[in-house]
Amino acid sequence: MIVATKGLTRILARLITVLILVAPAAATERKQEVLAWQAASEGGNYDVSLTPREQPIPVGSHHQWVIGLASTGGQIVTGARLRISGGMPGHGHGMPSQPLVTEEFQPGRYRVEGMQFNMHGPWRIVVGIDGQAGRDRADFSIIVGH
Amino acid sequence: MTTHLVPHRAKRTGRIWSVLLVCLTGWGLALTASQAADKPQAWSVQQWRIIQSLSINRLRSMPADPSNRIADNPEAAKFGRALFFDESLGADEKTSCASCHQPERYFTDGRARAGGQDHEHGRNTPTIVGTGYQQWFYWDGRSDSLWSQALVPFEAPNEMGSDRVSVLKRIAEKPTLSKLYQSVFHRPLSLPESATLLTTGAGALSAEPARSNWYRLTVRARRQINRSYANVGKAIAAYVRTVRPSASRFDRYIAALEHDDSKHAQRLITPTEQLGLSLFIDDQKTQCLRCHNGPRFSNDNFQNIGSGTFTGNNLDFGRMVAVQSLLTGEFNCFSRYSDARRNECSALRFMNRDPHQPLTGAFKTPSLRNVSATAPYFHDGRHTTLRDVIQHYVTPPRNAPNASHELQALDLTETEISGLVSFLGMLAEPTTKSAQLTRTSP
Repeated sequence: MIVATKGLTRILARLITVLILVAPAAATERKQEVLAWQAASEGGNYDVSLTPREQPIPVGSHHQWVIGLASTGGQIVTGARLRISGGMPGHGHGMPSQPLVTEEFQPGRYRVEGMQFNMHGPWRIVVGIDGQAGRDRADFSIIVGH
Repeated sequence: MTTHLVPHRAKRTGRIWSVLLVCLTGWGLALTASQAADKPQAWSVQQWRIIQSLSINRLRSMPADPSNRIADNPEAAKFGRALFFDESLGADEKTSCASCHQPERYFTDGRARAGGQDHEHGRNTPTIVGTGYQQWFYWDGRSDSLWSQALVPFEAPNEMGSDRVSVLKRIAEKPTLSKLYQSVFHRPLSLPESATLLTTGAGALSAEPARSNWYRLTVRARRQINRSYANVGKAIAAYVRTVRPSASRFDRYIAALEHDDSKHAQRLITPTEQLGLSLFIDDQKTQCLRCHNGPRFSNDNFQNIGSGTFTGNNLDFGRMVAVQSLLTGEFNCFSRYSDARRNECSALRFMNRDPHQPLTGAFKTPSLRNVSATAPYFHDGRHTTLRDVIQHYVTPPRNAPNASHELQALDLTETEISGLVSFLGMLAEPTTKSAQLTRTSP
């Protein structure tokens, strides 16, 4: 009984902590409710994450994203050469800009500059990878909401 | 291929995320409930969210222009305004920027295609209202800054028909303008002696003999002239950045709903306009928002709506040709006359150069603010009414060479088209109340 109460207390404490941490973020990010996307690469060589630096994702202006790269075993992948591109599959057009992966600012975390969306709706983002485990690509479907 | 929407710390502890999921769900429900309570009765949560995204109050602060160090200098804007309205800067001494960008017409000219110096120009005069928010200038975006764009019409034979040396000479001769130049740039406007001796002017983009004269000047003389000429463009840009859109009846309608004053809101919109608004924001029905989004009703990008001209006399390939001009432009953001560091030139750095993109026949999406008062429409002014424009989207081109475009034919009744036209009329700001719509000198 005591053990159960302790467990419940611990869960409640966590709940309160998480609520405090999440509350402001949820309030400001309610339009997207997005923190990041994650995908396994097509060849199964990498785990790739994509995080927009501005949330909600802006329409019209250039902004930055971060690509996180790890092996499927969870090891950070450094020194990879990455390319990023995208488009709207339903509309038959690509991105209005040509974004560049400009630096690996932390091990396994790569800065993308010049991301730009000109419309709300479903977009496809493709990350091309040339790294320790060979060449591969990861495909993301994202929604740029209002 | 798998794609998951996950938070970054997802892999660390499953249990924390289970708890978080519960919390987020709770928050999500709470937020949805509060939004539902806040939204006006006439609109769904999603519709109201989109409508609010179009309000002028959502217009962000004007983006900085690192290539123009005087972009937000009030004295420069005063000088730029004087230049903008000065007819003595045209070759005929009767043409200014305002000859085509007429303030009483929301800085357009009411003509299908612009005309200065008795020549017809190939394209419709776009407004300058709110252009400080843009990344690209001209219908094809062949300039990457307001100041570099402002330099072209002085020399274009079918616009002001002058040349950069004559323009600078005229500014130096006029006490009001030369004093303003000195006040903004802290030095008098000076020209190399070789240029002052030229009686027929000199300019890289001018008609002959000024064009040949330009290439007879030394590189050093040309650079000295270009520095002063770029300063003139930067002052005009400083003025144009101050010409911003103001609230329309549509914005007042949103404001009334935001203040829970639904009675006042209903007086600001007719049932036909309300039908038009509901269609405008309905992506399944009209797709207007795909390009005409945000508070300026423009995504400031290049779209192919099948309006390029690939045969006949008035050829116009749109964005495709502009990409080359941008890279070689003598006043682009990378040039010696720009005040920006190379990494600050984001428009050029990240410009889409992909030849597989549908840039051929693509033109920049115009803002829809004041659209009902700025006919005719399209880059070549081919449509005289908004009804004609909407008809283009109902029956987009099907035959080569214009068959390749981004449009899907819309299925709209005559009543629905009338609704859309009426709604667009709500986007005009009252001319009489707008202090910026005046020719009066500061």
